[in-house]
Amino acid sequence: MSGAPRDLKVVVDGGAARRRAAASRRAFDARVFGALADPALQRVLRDGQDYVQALAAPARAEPHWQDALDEVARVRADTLAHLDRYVEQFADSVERIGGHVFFAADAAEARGHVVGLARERGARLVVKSKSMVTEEIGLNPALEAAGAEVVETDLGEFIVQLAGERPFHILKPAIHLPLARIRALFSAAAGRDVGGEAEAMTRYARGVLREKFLAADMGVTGANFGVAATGSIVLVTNEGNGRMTTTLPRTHVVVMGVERLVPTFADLEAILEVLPRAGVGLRTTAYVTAITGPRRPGEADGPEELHVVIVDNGRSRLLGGKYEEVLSCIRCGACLDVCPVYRRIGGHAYDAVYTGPIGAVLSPLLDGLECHPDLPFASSLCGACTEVCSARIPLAELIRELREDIVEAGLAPRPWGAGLAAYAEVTRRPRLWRALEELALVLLRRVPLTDPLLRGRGPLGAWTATRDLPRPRRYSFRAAWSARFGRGGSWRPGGRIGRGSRRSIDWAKRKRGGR
Amino acid sequence: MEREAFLARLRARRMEGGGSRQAVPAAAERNAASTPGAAPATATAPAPTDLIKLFVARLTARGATVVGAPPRPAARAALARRGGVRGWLHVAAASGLSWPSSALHWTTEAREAQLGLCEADWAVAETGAVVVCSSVEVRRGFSLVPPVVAFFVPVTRIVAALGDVLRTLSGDGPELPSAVTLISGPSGTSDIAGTHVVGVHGPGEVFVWALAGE
Repeated sequence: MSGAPRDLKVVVDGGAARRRAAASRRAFDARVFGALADPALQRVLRDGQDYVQALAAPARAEPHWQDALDEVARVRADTLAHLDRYVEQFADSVERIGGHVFFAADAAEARGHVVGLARERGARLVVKSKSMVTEEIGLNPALEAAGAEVVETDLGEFIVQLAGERPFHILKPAIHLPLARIRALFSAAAGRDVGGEAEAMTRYARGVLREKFLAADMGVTGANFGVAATGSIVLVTNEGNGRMTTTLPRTHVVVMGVERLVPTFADLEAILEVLPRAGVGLRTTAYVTAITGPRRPGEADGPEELHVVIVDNGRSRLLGGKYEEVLSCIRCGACLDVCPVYRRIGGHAYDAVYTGPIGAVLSPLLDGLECHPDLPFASSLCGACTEVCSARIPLAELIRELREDIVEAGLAPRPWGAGLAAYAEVTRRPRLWRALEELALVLLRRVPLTDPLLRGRGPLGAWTATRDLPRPRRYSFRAAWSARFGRGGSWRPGGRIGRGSRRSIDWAKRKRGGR
Repeated sequence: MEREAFLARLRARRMEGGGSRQAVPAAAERNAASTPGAAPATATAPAPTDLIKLFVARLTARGATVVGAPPRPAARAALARRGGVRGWLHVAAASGLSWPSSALHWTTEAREAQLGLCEADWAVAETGAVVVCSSVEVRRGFSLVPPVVAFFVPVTRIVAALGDVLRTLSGDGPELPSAVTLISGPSGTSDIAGTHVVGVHGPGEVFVWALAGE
């Protein structure tokens, strides 16, 4: 896999990119330590992951589950391999049934077009059903600046909108907010106490939002999927707000990432099976809606106008390159629900639209490496995300790949780079290595574990603040190796860490046996 | 951005990337052999009893009230009876679906109705879903806007799996209804502190009568 710079977005001026990266990193550290110090948040994260894990476990244990994931991956790979053709076919299909298609190269074009549609129609009230891509393009502030009231109608999104926050989780935007805080938000909006029960609060939101649906001039949705062959938009929802948004307002605007297509309806079979089960452990959601064009002549409801905005915004840059597979994502959220890092730091620490392992890959690629230089490092590389991924995206592999690119782009912290360079030098000089090793052993054996040295200072402190140095053994690994395999059991040239080390042990054993 | 420029960019990226990934057969060609628009094999034959049982079990698990296999007149009477008890005075339904009734007033205005009634075009046993296609007669709002919604599902329309329905949704756009909706129980949310609440924007109660002999 050779690195192609066209995959990556970084500002041209290296100095500015480095400064930006350093600032992002400081802010990231602050958010992480903030999250770790919040016991209520820690509980929510832990319980949330455990709950979804328990729900999703039976599906993952089913014998045909792995086949279903293979099928999802196959459909997504097929789509990406012929994306230009499918986009063309999709656009033709949408137009044939009376819809309008706009091609947006970037976020600004997409925003501008939707704002223009709202302006031309004098839309004062816009209702939205949950959509990550509208977050990505920053649609709400743009519509508000143009004088429209924008109302998020997914209950979780409605809550985070009232709170002035961004969604915490791809599927569960408000999962981090405790009951009391939601009660306070709703009561402040209502001008009365709405009660402390989830049922009462839901009733309140239903009442408020029903009025909004009925009065709205425009409905904006994302698209879980677009079907190339028919020009249909498929929405997978539970609350019914997606259906309301596509039934009541005169104008329906769909904003979708260019990669969100499938060739035909038949290709959705495995995807629609996997998506709800991987995401929330259920066999299906309450609603799956396929919208094909605006209302037909004689129909009494449904939008009179359908506009589809197809957003590139950095996606085409990834096509055909080493990061292409990240575009296979079906946004099920499974990787967030298994990630040990997400479990501790939560969604807001990422400070990105897409969070968790998928966000650690997608956000730097879409927004620019210097905007999120820490996200690929916010991973233990344990591979749990890769293992559960519904579309078989090798997330851990891509995260590692991105780390390399961040270092190559000069965006990694300098002391860290200098440390690694020094390490590389030492490993090339066996005698120096041995001498330093012996010295370290002697020194470390003499230092008591409570010594301030083990707590570390300066850059070392960030490491030792949460980890103790282990008490060293009496002899080095190399000494143990020589004792077991003889002096000839040196590292096999060209061998790799992982499988390679296993091979070199076998090789050392054989060599010794032959002597 | 102009359509051609947008597509050209996608094409160019693909070409540059070249052999980074094995070529996959395009689905369009792959699916060309299958007959578009063909009805699912199980659709015309009476659904086997275990298919009905699975449908009832799965939809019940989703929080709907399902009454297995009464004939249509019995289902109508049961609905009217329940309507009397529950105060379903105004029922929103397609005119073709209504019947003369002393208990129920029929309307096409979903906003004024206490109950929406729809005849399902298909039902999926595996996911416990009823499938409703919108049309001039069947408004999208019937199964969405009233607080309670009821479905009549002829048992012959029950198919085994979601794929059986998806495969019928082919052909070009105009042949498809403007909205096809799969409904599995009442609307719900867990967005407030993870507590599951039934009935958000869509109906909070769903009744299904599986109709025998149809």
